[in-house]
Amino acid sequence: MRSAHGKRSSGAGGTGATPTAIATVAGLMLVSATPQAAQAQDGCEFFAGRTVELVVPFNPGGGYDLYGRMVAAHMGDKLGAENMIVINRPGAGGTLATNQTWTAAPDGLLIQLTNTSGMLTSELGGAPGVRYESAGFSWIGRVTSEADAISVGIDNSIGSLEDIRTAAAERTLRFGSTGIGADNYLGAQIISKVLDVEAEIVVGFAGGQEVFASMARGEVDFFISTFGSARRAEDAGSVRIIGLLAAEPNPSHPDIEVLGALVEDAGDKALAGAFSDVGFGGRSLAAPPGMAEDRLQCLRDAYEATIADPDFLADTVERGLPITPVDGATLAAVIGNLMANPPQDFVELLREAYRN
Amino acid sequence: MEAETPAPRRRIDEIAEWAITLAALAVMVAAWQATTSWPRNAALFPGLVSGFAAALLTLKLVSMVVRKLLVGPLRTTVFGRRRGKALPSDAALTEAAEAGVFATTPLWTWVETLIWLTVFFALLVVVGILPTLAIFGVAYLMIVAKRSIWFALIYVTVLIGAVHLLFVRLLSLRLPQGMLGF
Amino acid sequence: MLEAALSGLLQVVSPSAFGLMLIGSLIGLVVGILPGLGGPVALALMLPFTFGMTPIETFCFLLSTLVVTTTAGGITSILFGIPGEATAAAIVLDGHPMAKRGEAGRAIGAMLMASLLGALIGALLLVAAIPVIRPVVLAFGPPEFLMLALVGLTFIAILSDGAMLKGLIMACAGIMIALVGLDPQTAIPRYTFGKLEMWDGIGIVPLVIGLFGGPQILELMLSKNSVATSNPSKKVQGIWQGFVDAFVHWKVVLQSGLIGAGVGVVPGVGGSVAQFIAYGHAKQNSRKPEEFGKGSIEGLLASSGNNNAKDGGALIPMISFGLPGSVSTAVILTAFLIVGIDPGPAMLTEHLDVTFSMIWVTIIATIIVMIITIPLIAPLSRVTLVNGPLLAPFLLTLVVLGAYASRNSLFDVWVMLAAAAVGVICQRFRWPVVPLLLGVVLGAACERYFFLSQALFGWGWMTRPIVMGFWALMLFILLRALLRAWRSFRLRERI
Repeated sequence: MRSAHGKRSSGAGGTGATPTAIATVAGLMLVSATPQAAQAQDGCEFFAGRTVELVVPFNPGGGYDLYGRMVAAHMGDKLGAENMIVINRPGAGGTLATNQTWTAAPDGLLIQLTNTSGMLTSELGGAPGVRYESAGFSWIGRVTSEADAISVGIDNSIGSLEDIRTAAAERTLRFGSTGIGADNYLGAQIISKVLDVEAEIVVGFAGGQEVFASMARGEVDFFISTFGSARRAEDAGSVRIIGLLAAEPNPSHPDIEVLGALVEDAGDKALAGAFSDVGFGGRSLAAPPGMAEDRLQCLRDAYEATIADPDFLADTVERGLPITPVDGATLAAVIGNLMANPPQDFVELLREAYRN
Repeated sequence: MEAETPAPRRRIDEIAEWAITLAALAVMVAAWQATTSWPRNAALFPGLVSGFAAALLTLKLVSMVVRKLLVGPLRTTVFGRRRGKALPSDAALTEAAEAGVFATTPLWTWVETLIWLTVFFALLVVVGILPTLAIFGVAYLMIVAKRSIWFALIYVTVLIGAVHLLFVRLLSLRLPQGMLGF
Repeated sequence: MLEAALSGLLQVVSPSAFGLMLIGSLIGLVVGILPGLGGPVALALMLPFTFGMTPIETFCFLLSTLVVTTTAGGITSILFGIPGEATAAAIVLDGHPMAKRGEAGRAIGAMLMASLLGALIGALLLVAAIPVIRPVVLAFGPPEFLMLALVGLTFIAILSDGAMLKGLIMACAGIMIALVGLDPQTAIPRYTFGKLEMWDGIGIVPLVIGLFGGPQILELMLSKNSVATSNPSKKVQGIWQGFVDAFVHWKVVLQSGLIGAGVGVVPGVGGSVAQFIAYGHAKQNSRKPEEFGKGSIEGLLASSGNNNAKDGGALIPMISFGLPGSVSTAVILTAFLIVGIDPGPAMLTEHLDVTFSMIWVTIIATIIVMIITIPLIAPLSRVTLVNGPLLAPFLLTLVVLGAYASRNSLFDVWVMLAAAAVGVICQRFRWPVVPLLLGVVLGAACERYFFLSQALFGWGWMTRPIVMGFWALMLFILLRALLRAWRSFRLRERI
């Protein structure tokens, strides 16, 4: 007797599939599964006894470096590699390392921790020196992504996002920035556009720390930065966080105002959101383009294993480096979408910034 | 009682002074030229500095020309120091000592050393640092330092071992790799 | 405050903390001696080991490495003329000539003792500054940073070996080199010739290694002599002589320490320029300025004394504001985050004992490295008696790795090579090199702070009180230098 849907009715009493059918199906599944497992193993056996390099596009000791070293300490084992070491390759705000990874051999021995939002905005804006295509990288997974905070100097009269418009009517507001094209520069432009205020963007600060100090002295009003560094500056008594640069409230910081709440126009809301969309990628792991399916799967699996590992998670707590992981496939899809259909206003903003 | 420094070295110094000044002037003028195509803020500092340097170099050139015409056969070295009168002889010797190794080394030694250095860096580019150490180290120690092959091999092994231990094992740093991927 | 000081000290000398200091010092010694491999790399690697340590243990571990790296950098500077760190370049100027005279042991001894005394001065300044740290750091903005950089540049007048015109030209060249890279104002690449590696500018580490170290190595290869060319029958182990020197010339050490600590407070610019201000000041006030650059013990003491003092000074803005002065201090800052303490007012109130422990560590670590190095000085000095060609492969390796390791870039090795060529030409044809270095170190900062000052204050920045004080200082230094140059010019004319 043959059942209409042999596979499905396996457990429901004896009328459907016969034990033989079940056994056959099970056997077939097992047989078909094994070569794949064997393939994956072949791909992953490649790593045995070899050193994988994790490129960090910034100097040692910074946020990216810390996350990179934390991941490298655990992921090497999961891959079955001899070890995974961090190579610092600073330059051009991360573009140097990204360019070099773009042309590296896709054998899996070189991966990079990316400054994803910087990558995307540079490419979208047509920045000089960009020699890669963000959507083409072999994305392994996201490590973490932070919200962008808007902070004001500690003695500043502006107390909340609403006050910005009123203050702008009385005097020219100032944003601090580390350079044209940096996240803090773009964020400043977005706020000015969305809130419809005229603001000066003072560039040339050597780093976020210098801007925070300048804000404590009352020289500039605002700075856009990662939430973490803003919070630390707040604790140091230099600034106050007054909002997040996003369209929708952030579940990790529910009591902090978002820029999107202050605007009604859909276009403006989209602009505010575009910034955080681009930030979705946060700090992610990527490998050179054109990697073989199974090799990439090895890396992705190793990453999944890392973030599930209780030792790794304990590390993140101990080191004070929280992770908000996203798997490689989803990450690749989001980035692909974003690069294929970026919000036009945002692209215009970017192109203007890089137009020189 | 003329200073006893040999004439050829003085000649080189003089030629070099002219060459360096002229070359520097050319570089500064080119640098200034580049700034003219930049926006005002980007061009301000480099323009000012290269312009100022070009002016200083021109001033120096003028003073060199003037001194050459006025003082003639009497030798001069650096700006501000005139050698109209003869130097006491031990001052001249100190001068020679001060001129240092670079001034007193014969040409052949220069060429030999520069060839060795070229070999070192060429090897570095092709095979990376560790094989370069091995090849260059043994060759240099045997040929120039005139040591036995055993000495050279031990020296090189210890050196490579120390570098590997420190950089690769302890510090997990990458070593320069050559084109052949060592 | 006294209880915090005592509490800090007690915690620092606890067995575990002290043990960590020893290990940190050893690591710092090895890494510091290697040129180019500096604080940042070592510290970043040590960071993971600190998770799970108490705050004081963490700082004992990391700070001792930082402090010792600075001191140990002076050893290669003296022995081989290759600066172990960019901040040890001034030590080469007089330390290496001393080694060539066969006085390597004395030089290292003097350097160590001056570093220790400087560390003490830096620590004292830090303690004294605690009540006024925040207002002082807040009073220094871009205009004041700019003025400090300009004051540094005026020292060209003193450090040009009498050839002021050449010195000025070299300084201009240095500034032009510093301007290579992406312009912060307009993001235009300047003088990069299309190479992305040049966008962040020419690396200072490969530049310094090549400029100073290159000629020294070439000299060894050409002369086939040992480093110590003079009669080495004078005992090479002159360590105690060196220690005594530091006390005999205590005024030089004191002033250099104060300058180091004071200037080191200024983030960024401070650390790099302190050594030249201290050195130039000592030269200007010395009774034998012509010896500077040829193995003057005063010159060596001045350049060493400020080294550790500036580390103490750099801690001031770091502790009170989280403003790191350099890449190394930035790593220490990260350590703060890891132990869960935030830099800021809390460091001067509830965590005052931690602040004091940091001060104690800088002092004790310097003592430790001195004690460790004493037995090593004799064998180390004997390296100066080794035949040049024997040293060549070793030194070439050192400089290549040092240049490469800073950014994992082979391009930097070529930068080092080019800098070496420049250094050789300058040494041969008597163009002064120190002004070039001054220009490179200060050029970019001058431009950046100039534009920031303009953007923030318009032209009004020029008349701020501290700025006016700096103008006066600059004028004073320039006039003295010009007066001296004029006098010696007239003297020479009369011969």
